[in-house]
Amino acid sequence: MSLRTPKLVSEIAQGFVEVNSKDALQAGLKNKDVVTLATRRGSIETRAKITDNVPPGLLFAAFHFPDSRGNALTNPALVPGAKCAGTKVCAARMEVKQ
Amino acid sequence: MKGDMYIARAADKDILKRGENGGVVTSLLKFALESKRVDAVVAVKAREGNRYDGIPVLITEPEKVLETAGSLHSSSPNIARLLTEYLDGASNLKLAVVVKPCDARAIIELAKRTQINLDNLLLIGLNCTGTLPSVKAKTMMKEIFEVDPAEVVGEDIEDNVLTITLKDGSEKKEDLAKLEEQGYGRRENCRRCEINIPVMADIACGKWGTTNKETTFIETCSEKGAQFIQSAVDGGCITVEEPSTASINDRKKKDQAAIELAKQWQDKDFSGLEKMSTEERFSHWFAQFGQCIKCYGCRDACPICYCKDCFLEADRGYITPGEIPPDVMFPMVRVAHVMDSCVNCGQCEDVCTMDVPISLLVFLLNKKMSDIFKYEPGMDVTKLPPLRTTTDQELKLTGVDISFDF
Repeated sequence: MSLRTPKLVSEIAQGFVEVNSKDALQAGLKNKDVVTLATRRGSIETRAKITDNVPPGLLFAAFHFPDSRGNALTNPALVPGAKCAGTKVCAARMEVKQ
Repeated sequence: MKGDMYIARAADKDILKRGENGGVVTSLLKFALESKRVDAVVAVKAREGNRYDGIPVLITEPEKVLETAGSLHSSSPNIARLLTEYLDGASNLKLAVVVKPCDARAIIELAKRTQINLDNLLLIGLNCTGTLPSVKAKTMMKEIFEVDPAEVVGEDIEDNVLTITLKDGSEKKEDLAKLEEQGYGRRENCRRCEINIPVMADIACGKWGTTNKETTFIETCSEKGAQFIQSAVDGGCITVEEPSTASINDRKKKDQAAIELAKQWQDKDFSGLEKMSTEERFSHWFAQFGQCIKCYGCRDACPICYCKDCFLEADRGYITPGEIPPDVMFPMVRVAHVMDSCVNCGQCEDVCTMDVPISLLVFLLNKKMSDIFKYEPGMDVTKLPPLRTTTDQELKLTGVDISFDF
């Protein structure tokens, strides 16, 4: 997201990661805590949004906020035939930033 | 003078042929431009011949008026909003505007809020017993009438029957009540609407009270309208004759029948809600509001919602930003801001991507409020809406019950 549309920025200006409440409890995570998401390709920092919109074991982050670019984590490799990028899903590690 | 009635037809043979009921409205628009009584005309035409996609057009050349001849039942453009958003509320432009009763009423409510300059407008009203939702209308043509929607060249609603005319001149008819039971027919707000003859406009035109398809019944509803009709007759643009008593009575009877039908729809649509306990009502409407994706469509389509700096914007700090569904105050603030002036145009529900029956709620509350304050929106420009005129002291008067415990 370019953050050049004032209306959208006033709705949501920063990225976040959705974390299931059970996972949050286990990680000792509070709403809006800063977490580090890391994969073998890279890591980002963002704020946690605790919600049961995602099931336990799954994190959801948008990839368009400049402050927490989700695609720093994902795999850019293409499916040979369809050329579809693997930038939608990947395994990741979450650590609560102290 | 105001209140005069005529049976009229176009003097021009081309217009008489192209127009729907004697080509009177087309002739009047052409005359308004030619005689320089207006700078432009606002009417509706089919986009690229597609009658399910009626678009408002601003016309300055008299010969182009003919493109708007004939009624389009399967579209309901937002005429009042068009005037405020794109034509600066007619502040510097004299316009003749073709309106359905709800368009005229919205324009009058906006004039009370100084958003439209009524002095610059000539409102040419069309009788209306309802419009059809365009996508459903196309499906209805295919599924029920079993015709290609593109073959339809005319629709007509009369005596609770929907008649369509096809390119080859043949007609097909279906019972409107039956269609509406099946989920087709008119838009839901139109079914509940009791205002069929646009007496709040300057002129009310329609086929009720005529005996053939080549004439239109006209009632002049303001001095401005009466003068305009007189000059159109003097200018040789239309020919008129006095309607017979039978004609006038027939028009009244048809109007009354349509009003009765609307009241039946109101009873049907309201009764379930009225039977609910307060708790049930809350849970019903909160579940409806829970579908809201905060697209602001209802606010942006509502002709009455005119604030440039809206209370509901995220940066105003009233509604939590970035939250979907938004807090219940989001729809409730909208409802509270417009319910005294709702003209039941249905634009909010037309644009709602989540099919929240918001028009039903606002109209229901408006009816209750109208009973209390004896205020009918959009009927008289000199009467201000209750939210503008009721004082805090009045609300506290003993013996006055303004609760909504219906």
